[in-house]
Amino acid sequence: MASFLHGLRAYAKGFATTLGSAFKKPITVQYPEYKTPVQTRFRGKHMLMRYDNGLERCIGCSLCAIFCPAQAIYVEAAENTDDNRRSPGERYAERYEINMIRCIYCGYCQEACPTEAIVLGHEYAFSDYTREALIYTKDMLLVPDPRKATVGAGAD
Amino acid sequence: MVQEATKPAAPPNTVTLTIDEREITVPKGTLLVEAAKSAGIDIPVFCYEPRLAPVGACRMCLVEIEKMPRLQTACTTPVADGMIVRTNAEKSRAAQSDVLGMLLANHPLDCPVCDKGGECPLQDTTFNYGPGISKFIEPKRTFPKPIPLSPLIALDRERCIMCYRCVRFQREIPGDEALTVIDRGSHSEIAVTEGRDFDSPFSGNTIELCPVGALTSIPFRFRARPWDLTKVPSVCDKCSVGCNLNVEYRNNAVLRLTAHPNPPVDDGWLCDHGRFTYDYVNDKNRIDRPLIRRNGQLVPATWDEALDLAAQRFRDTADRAGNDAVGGVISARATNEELYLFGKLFRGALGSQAVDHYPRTGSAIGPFGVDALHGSIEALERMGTIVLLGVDPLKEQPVLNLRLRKAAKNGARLVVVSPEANDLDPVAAHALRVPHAALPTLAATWANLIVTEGLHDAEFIGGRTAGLDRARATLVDFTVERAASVIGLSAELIAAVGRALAAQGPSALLFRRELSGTIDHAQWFAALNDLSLLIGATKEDGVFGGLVTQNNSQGAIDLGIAPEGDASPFGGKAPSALYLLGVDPLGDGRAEALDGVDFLVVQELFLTDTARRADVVFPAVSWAEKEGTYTNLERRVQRIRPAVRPPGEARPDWRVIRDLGKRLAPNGFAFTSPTAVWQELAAAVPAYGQLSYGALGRGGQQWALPHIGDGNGGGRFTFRSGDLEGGAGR
Amino acid sequence: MALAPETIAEIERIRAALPEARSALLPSLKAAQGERGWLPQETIKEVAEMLGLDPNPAYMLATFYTMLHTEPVGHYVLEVCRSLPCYLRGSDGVTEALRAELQPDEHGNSADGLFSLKIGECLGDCPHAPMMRVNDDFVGPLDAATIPETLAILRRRAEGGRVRGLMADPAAGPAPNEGPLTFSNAIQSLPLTRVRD
Repeated sequence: MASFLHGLRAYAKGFATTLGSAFKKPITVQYPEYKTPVQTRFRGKHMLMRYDNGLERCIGCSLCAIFCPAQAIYVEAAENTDDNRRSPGERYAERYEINMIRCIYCGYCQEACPTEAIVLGHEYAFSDYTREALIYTKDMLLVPDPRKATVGAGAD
Repeated sequence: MVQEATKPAAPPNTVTLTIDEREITVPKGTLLVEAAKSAGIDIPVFCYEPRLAPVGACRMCLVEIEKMPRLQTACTTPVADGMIVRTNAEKSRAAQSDVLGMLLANHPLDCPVCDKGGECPLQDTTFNYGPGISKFIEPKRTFPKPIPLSPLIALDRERCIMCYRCVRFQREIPGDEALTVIDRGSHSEIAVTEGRDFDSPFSGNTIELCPVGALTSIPFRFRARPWDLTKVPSVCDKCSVGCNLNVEYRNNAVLRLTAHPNPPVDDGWLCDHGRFTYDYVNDKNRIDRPLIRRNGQLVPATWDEALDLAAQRFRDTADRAGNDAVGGVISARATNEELYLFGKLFRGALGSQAVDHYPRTGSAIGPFGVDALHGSIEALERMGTIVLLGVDPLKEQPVLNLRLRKAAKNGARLVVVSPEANDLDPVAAHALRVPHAALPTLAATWANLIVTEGLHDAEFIGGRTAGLDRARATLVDFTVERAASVIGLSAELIAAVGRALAAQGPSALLFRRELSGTIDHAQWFAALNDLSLLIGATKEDGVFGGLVTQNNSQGAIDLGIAPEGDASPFGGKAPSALYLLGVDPLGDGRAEALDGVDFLVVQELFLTDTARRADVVFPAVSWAEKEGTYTNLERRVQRIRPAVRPPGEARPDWRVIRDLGKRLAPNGFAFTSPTAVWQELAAAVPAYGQLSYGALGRGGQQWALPHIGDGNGGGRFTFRSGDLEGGAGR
Repeated sequence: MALAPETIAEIERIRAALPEARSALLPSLKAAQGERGWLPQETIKEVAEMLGLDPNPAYMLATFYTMLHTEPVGHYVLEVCRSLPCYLRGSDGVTEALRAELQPDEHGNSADGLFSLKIGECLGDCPHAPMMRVNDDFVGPLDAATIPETLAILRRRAEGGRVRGLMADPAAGPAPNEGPLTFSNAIQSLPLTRVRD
């Protein structure tokens, strides 16, 4: 009898917890309809930034690529000309690719960057069906030109 | 103390000094910076470069020497006995740091966009010795940049630290003053006269000499960071010197070539032609699969189709019209392995003698009885006299030209005989303008003069040569007066130069193999042979040889890739079926070479005019894509290594020849690699059998000339003028 | 733009007097500069070629020495010494006074083309600091206050004769080589100045 009462008390205690939680505000959200806000320093999808005048910050120096512990970055540089000026100075990145499934989101690229061109943003949902689609090219990473009213391709 | 007592006495001509508490013994006259280097002590330098005269311009190498009131530059201070030097004491460290601070005062912080970044001595030295933080807050000096000095080299004046390495290189090594410094003090700039390019054929070396990113390569500009490149040591294939270089590539594209110093061959220099000619390797228009002619059109085919067709037609032609109706010409730029296989394909599998290399090197059998250079490139530095007959190395062997200038600087008397202005004229003791046609007469005249006046080394001639008396009978007609009337120079000048040749000291005789015009080459070589004996160029310390022009002409000679008799597919009767490997007779204006050819197989990098006419086209691979060995002009066999993959379906050339061989012969072509071909080649060619394959990849090895006239009753050198029928009067 | 026959003769004379062609370069350039007061690129090249030398070292010399000018200069080239002794005696004030008076453009030339103002290093006339070089003569000690007067004297002197340099009339062709300008007549009248022989 005593043991029966003891068991009953355990049930009551357990259900009390359940019942109590049922009226609390849930800590989960209905993803993807709702998303939890990320921390300011969250490291998500990379962005290649621009200056206010629209010029790209990236100078194609490859320091991000050499720092990258996952070897996820590929850069090819080219020379700015007066007709085709992409960044201040002599050099810009002709190709800039990040393999998003190789990347470990450590942020070393951001730290290595001498011009603060590459910044890890807050976007984290970019699953896809093929590996190739997850190699992000420069146009997918580059933020839109602030001077242009319309939003550029690949911008988020 | 015990050690001191037992320490052996220092050998003469050395001095013993102490650097950083370490006692070292070096030869007298050694510069402090070199002495430290030999002991493994690093003294930072910018302007110092061992191959250039010291200037002490950058002040980076300041060291503390006891009993000297001020710090001294290690790059200009020779060692002295008992010197006590401190390179890392507080005083020298502070000075080094301050000098770096000054050098960086105007140096822009653009390392991320600078092509030198990552392989920059200024970066490295700043990390090791520099101040962490600049004392300067003033704005840096700026210039418009970059300015192209030539189509190959860009100058960034902001980055220049005025070490003058580039200017000194141009002045001291090629001697062309192609660069200069303008203005003075802090306004100094590297420059060229307005309206003129930095037009030296050796300009590319300044890119590597520059310790900062002031002089950079325009073709390589921003193509890759140094750490992105993979380096493969190889050998340049642009001329017969065989300078060593690194093929640097990324993503299967050759992006630049840099020097890979092999001092006996190249002294660490490259010419611009060698350094900058690589774009064709990456060219998208290269042939990347076999082509065969169907209905008059060249269409892509499989390797088996193309190889089967070529082998079948070769066999049919041989059966129908005789073995010699199938001919082959291989480029003199092919590797030894390819040359050997090519020879084996024709002589062995097809039984044809119609096999040749192109451009064909004229035979020049010297006193040693073999067609090869006696001595070495490096030995030229130690010559007392160097005679150049009809050769202009700047045009054909550029880096050899630098060695000859170095020899002149070391005190060699250069006698330059050429039909037109020669780059070496200004450093020559005697520069004579003589047309090719008169060179044999001139050589015979000098030989006669030396022997008549008894200026030769009687001991050497008496003990180790034979046939002088017979030769004299022929040479005696070649008087100075007669030469003067033939050549158009004064008899006094010809005699004076001839006497200068006979002066004692090691001597070298370098000559052109094929003279233009109607020349009696037998007389030419007989005269050269005899002159070389009389001036002592065939002695152990001498140099004698006809300079070859292509990177593997010597290999083609050594392996006998030349027809016997008049069976040459080029020049003689054209064969019915012809296999051309890397040879373009139509492009070279020799269309007649293809007359009467019914079946043409061409192996080429590009669809040349000749390839367009072919029945079968095999894609060839470039030197950056294959493995093998080249033999340079001094008999040095050196290994090349593949760096990048050939385009499309292209296969290494040796494999194509082997696969043809497999189809044409029951056995003998079962090679699996170029190394396997080398092994058979080395067994077949005695001179190559002595070589160690391992050494070929580490600076190469010269095959040994046969010993003649060693004074032990063995063979003697023979004078040859006496063999000429009709003697003088030719 | 070929060299004048007199200049060619002078360069040949210089070359003959010296053992090395390179040694003749500096005096030859100086002689060539006499023609128009400065050395255009073509002239430098021509002189080098006359001596059988590469133009590059000639260009180097022409830019190194402040007495040789590779850009057009006025009739008078004023080179103010800025080295320590002159500086301590007020050379910066002198320079400022000259600037204020001449209003030179970025090349240092005055608007009327008569003067070119240059700043140079020690010329070895420290006893007369602060000093300047006026063409081939040393003038000092200078005083910022009397600079306008000094310039006026120079202007008056130029009015007397045909001038070279920027003020020269291109139609008149190159001015004859007058040899070094001397100030023997002006010495006494220049306030607070002295010209070394």
